[in-house]
Amino acid sequence: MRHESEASMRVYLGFTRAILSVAPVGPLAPARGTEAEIAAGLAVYRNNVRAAYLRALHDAFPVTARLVGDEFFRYLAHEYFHAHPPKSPLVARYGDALPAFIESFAPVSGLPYLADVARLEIAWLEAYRAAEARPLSPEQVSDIIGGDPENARITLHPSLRLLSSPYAVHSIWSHNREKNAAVLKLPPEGECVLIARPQEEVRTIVLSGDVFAALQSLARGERLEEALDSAMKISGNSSLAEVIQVIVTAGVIVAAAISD
Amino acid sequence: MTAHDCILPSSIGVGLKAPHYKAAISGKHALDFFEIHAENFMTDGGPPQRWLTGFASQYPISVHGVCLSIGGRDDLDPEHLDRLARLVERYEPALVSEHLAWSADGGVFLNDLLPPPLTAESLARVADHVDQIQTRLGRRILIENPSQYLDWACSDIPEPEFLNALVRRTGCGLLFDANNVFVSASNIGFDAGAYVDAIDAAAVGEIHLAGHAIDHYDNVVIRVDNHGDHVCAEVLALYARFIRRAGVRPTLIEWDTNIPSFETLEAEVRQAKLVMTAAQSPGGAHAA
Repeated sequence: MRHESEASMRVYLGFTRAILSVAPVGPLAPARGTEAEIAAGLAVYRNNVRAAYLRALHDAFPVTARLVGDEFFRYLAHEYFHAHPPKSPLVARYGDALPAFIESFAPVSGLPYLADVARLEIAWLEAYRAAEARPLSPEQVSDIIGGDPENARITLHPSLRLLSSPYAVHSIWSHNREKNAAVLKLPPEGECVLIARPQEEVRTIVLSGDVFAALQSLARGERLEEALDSAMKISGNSSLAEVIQVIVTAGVIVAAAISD
Repeated sequence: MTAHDCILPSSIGVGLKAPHYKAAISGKHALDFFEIHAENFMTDGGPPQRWLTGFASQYPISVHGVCLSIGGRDDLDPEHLDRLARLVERYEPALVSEHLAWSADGGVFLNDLLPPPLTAESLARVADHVDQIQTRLGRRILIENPSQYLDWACSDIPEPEFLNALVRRTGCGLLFDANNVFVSASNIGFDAGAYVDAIDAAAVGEIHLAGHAIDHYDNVVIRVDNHGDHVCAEVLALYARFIRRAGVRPTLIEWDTNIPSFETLEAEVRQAKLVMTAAQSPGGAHAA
């Protein structure tokens, strides 16, 4: 870093503080003009910065915003901004800490599922932006692993995200994403969700607990046999054929091999 | 190398927005090129890359960065520069540009284009940053004049002089934003026409036109560069003034908030084309 004169240091430090402060403070960085002009100029910058982050959060979390209403979401975003001053030029990822913030934010404690809905929205965005890969067809998978499926290792699609929640997070999310005005009859059980973008569109699928556990095992790099063991711990009726069928149909296998 | 690595000086394009993708890629319009905000396309894959691949195969593309914080006192974010470099390598755009502005300080990222102090000290640092970017990308970039709502007391170099010096030191080009000149001139009080006459016209590789809002804070009127309206007559007059002096340049209409219909955007382009043609022709001195 080059030598910094006192005057220009005050611009960077003082102006940054003046923008971030919760309530408007004096300009902190010396500017020309009348007091009213300087206050107005500072107000424009403060508004611009807050509006840009509100927009970024609203774009990333449309369902979360719908669940609490736009006005309350603005308040939530404002509180989040002051609790988590932005650090990264990847503005689209600014909300990555929002679910954890929601969990600790008392005014929404009456909506215990809200944080998981926000997590689902993050997973959706990650899948949307993930690298491309071509899924294998059911025939290709069966040609590769058909002889010895237990010992097969699977490479999953880079866009695959897995989310389980004690709440019916997918039902809540999809109902509100479609802006369905009817009252949602909330399923009493939690939901396990697969989120992936095998081709153009992000798809979301609610999985049974055993298939979900098998996928988590495969995502850790384990063999299909171990994945089936994980599934059996959830449901004694799990079968390898069913596990394979669900994940092949979901389009999330991009490579497979029989391990030695 | 794509087939569209060059933009003719008389080209007029628009900033590409998602609601217009389908109409824009159909080819049923008179637009010559498209500009993207680099940060919106810094994904590994997905629809953003698929769309951009489609556009880049048919039109020249201009990549406009908004987050490198060239005017900041922090070092450039090397990861972010890498992300920009990957995008530029992948699409080989006809133009690459950034701003004379800062958005990061002390690790905080403010996501706005804030004006730097205009001093010899900051000129040296901005020049270092531009050198670093041009070296990393292996090409010349254009630097855009920012819109301003505050005038730092320590600034002692007029902005056009600062930008011209930056051109001499780094070999960069300039992106002349006529709306930003008008907005800044109104807000902090300088002569917009004299500014247009002072910038190093030979270095200008692109022109931006946009609309702005007029806000009131108590008794203070501020023009806010929100890219949310038609290009106003005063800005078109500055545009014509530049062309009369220096000839035509690739021109871009920016409309980023309150995004209008594609047809409205096409009408803005037609209007800019009329001003461009009139200012070019003999006697054009009074056309705009």
